[in-house]
Amino acid sequence: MTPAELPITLKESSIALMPLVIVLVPVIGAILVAVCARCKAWAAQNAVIILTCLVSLGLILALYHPVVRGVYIEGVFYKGLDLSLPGIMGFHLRFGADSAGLIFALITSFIWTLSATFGTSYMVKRHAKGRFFTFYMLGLASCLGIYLVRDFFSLFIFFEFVTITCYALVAHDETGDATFAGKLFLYVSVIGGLCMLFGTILMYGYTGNISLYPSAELTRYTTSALPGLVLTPRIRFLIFFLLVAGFAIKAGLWLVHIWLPVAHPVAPPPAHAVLSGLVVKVGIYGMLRTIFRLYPAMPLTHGAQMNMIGVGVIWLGVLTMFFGALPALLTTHFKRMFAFSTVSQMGFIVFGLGCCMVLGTEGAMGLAGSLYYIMNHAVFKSAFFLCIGITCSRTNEDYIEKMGGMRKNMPITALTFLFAVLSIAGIPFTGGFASKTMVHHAITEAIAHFGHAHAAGIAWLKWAEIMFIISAGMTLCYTTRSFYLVYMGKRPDYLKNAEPETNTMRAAFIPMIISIILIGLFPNFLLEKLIGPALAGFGLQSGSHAYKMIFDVNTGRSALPLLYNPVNFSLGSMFSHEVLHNVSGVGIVALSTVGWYLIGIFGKMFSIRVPEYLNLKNWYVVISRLVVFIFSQLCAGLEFVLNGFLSFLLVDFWQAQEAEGEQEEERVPLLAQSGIESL
Amino acid sequence: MKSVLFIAIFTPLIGALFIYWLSLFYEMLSNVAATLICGLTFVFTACLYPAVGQGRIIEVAWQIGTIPALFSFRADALGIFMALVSSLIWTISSWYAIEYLMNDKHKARYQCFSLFSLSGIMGIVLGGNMLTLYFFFEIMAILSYMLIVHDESAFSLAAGSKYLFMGIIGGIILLLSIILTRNITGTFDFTNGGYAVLRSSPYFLFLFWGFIIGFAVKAGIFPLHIWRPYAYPAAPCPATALLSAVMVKAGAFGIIKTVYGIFGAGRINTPATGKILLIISIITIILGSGLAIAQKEIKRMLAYSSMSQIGYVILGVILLSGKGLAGGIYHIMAHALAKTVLFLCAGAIIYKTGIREIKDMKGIGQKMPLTMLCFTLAALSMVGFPPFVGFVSKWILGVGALQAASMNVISQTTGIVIIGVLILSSLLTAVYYGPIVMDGWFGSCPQDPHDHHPLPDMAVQRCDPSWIMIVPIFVLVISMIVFAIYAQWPMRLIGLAVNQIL
Repeated sequence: MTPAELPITLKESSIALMPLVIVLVPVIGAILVAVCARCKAWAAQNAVIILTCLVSLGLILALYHPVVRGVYIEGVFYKGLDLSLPGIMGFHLRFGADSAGLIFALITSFIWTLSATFGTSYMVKRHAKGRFFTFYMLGLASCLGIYLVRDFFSLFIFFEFVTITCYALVAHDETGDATFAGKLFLYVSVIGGLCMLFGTILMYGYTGNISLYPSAELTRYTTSALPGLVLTPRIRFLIFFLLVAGFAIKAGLWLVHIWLPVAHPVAPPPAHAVLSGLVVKVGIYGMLRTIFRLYPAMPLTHGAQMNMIGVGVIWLGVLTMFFGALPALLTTHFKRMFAFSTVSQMGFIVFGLGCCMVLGTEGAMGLAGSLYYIMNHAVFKSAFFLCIGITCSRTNEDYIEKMGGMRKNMPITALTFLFAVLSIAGIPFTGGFASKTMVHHAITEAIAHFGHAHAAGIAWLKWAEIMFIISAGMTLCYTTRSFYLVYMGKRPDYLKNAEPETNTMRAAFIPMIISIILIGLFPNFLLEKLIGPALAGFGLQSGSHAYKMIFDVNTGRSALPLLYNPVNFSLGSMFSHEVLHNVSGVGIVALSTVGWYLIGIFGKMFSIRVPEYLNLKNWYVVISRLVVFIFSQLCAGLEFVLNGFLSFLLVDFWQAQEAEGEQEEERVPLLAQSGIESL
Repeated sequence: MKSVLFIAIFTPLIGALFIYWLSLFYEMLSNVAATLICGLTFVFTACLYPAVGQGRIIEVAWQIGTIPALFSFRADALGIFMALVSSLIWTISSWYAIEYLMNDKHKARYQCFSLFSLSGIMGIVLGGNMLTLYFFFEIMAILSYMLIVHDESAFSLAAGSKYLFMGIIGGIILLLSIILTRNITGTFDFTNGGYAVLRSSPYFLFLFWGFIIGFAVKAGIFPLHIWRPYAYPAAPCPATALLSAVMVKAGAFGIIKTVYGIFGAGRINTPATGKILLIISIITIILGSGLAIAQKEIKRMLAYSSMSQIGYVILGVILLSGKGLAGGIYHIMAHALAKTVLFLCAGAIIYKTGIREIKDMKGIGQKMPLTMLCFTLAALSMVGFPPFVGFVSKWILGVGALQAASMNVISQTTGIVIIGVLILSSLLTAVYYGPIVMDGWFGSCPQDPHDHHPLPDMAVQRCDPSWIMIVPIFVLVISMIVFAIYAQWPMRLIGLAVNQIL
């Protein structure tokens, strides 16, 4: 798309203020919550919480037309928002919205509303709930802020807000575990934030343009804010690496996922649901922007080299999905299992992004699959965690083998969990089917494209597909197993009296079930309304086959046969070649699941307890403590030597001249206080 | 305007004498009177702002016939900026001292010498030539000794003598350098772009390092920082805040004047001068952070943290680029605001509970929530979290490093490494502030995860200090946020200063 075709963004209109307003609404809500908590007006507090979430959801929905569809104002067609606040924080803040950001904002406020509804009931008798909900609302504001800005500088600011607010949610319980998890979360997040700041500074210095959106300026790599700095490929990769590292830490990708299984389970369930379902998406969103900002989609000419950075991203996804799912299979701690599951699912999303990078301008399937996956994952993962939270809290158990038959106590919870399991597994007629199928399509497309040319690195893609199937099987294995052990089977006697979920909680669960079913029944609806329009902002070629199938720019319809032919619906189209191919993919995953069950039961894998020394987290903690200790002691040693030498040269030497002997006692504290004391 | 400049400089000097006279009759009033005098100084300085903010430079010099002026004053943008920051911090600190030193029998002496030191600062930053600067520099260096030995304990006397000896040695080196410069250039004045004749003189290296050492002693940069860990814990907290936030900045101010006003930015970009100073500033940043991690006592930790932060200022100055200098000057303000808050909060904790060790501070947030809130926000600023001043200076310094690289002052790799140093140091800052803040809020807690105890505010007795101590801290916290979000306000003056200097 050339710049001339790009629609004009709204600047000088009251609608352009909307992103700022949307960010400020939860902040005002947080202040009101704090006031209510001060007055101990709990009913008013709950009302404020839910109302605030609903208002921000409504405002975001109201943005749909100006941002996704575009509006005519005085005969001029506008699409997208832009609000610049110059001079803020030594640079500027730029609020704005485009279709992709709106997807994230929409799903965030939707799930946040449901989790908050659940939370108002869950937190009734818990301590410090005023503080909890204040930070809960601030967390919503900062997450929405991330999706409603236009450049990396503003993104960084909200990114750091997310860190602070989520820290308060993680450490909320004030137990030893929670304190440790909070510290781990904060340090890791600070490292991530600093990586991102590093990358942002470099990007600003080398390109002078830190906009999030791929735009016409993108192609002018050599222009720079500071003349004399040239963006070499090496520097570009450095910026890419730093930004991706920063976002990967937030998203919990492989090697930097260690904090996630520690920090998420200790947070109260309403916080846990949004942390796992939504806050990790902040990292994914950042990665999405970074990828298309620094390595914009290139046309795939015949015989082109495969984008090895894209292959790297695919394998980052593969390793994440595998090494996230493996510990989830090996643990029986209910919350930790699903925290690892979050890690694993992030791998699937990154996998799609990597496919998109490999396919260049024809990567619509990968990108759309990832975006779809993000929406589905937010729904089913927060459903999981709300169910897990209420089940663990009602039974006072943390391990799945100690529970059982809980469907009798809490039927709606069990039902929600079941639908979430079906969705995460990608069973047809649930939400997850479409996204998993599309991501899988993307990798087959990449293999098909490069397979004929026998391009270098094609084996990496083929193995990635196999790993995809294996990991999907693992996902289905641990989810079904935990569902069976917790909700089905025999109920231990001492759990007979476990309280059921409250009606408020049901009110949170039921919309989740409904959305899982609706997405499952009409998989093309979201493609037409949200995901398809969002593809336009990423420089993909709208004429390519995959793009046209997902979203036809001219008609605004999606023709992708996921469950049926969406253009001419007929029962026969449900058994067409493409649909059967999609469903058979689920069959292969099911086979892989059976394989994992066999390994688990007959290979005694389920009874393996992973020893602590294999836990990557412990190694990180020990090594970082050791490094800090050695570094600080080296500094202290240097200081001690320096201090002794210079003190003598500059101070004691002169003092000794004027008074010998008598001053001895006075000099004792000087020496006693020198650096050695701190050793 | 010239008379206002005079009044602004001499208000604290006369005020100090007035305080002494007042304390003979009404000792209780001396703290309040000192606060008012500092506030007056701030107001008079602010009166100069409208003229200076438009780019005017106000100069006063005593010239007798044709003999060149020995003493002169000059209010330019940088001077006014420094004077505003200094007198603001001084007002806050004196206000805070009203309660902190309520029961101290030497409070009049403290306030008297505090005002003398303020007049020293005002003279330094508004001084028009090297001799004036030196004169007021010595006033500040020697009279602030009385602030450090205020407790009169053996430890503070020892710390004070260390401070004094090092200050005097630095002062002597500085004076020698000034006299030598006068011999070569024939004038005591500063000049924009520096004196070309100095570069070709055989004493170039000696002079440069003489000036730098003279000021570095006061700025406390590596390796002349060794007085810091003694003087900071020894002095009472309001004085420590002044020392850390303003007085060491006088040294940094001197280095700015040396680099840009005596030698000229283009002439010191050589391996033996500018490059070594760059390396020294990086060592200061990293070593200060590392030492702060090793500390167990909060004031010593803050002392080393200040050392690390002054390294940022020197780094910004020696980057020799416009953005870098602006970042350095902005960081003078950023650090002054945040570090004053930290020292005053630490002082409030020491004053109310007597806790000095970091490990004893667990759960302090539940006892002193307001104090700990301020401490937390200031710590976040130090780490470089938005929307606080520390983040803004880090951003500007980072861009300044790249600007220096684009101007070929340093290589591109060095530019990236410098940003890496800024980032690493932020991380180390988080490592030593993190435990205090996190254990402070979530520290003393029941170990049973299922025991959801009621809000702890019923159980723990609150002991936040009275409004006399809290309000000044809050004023700084709010300005810390406002000057970050509306960074264009200070940046307007800083931009003017950079234009005047470069």
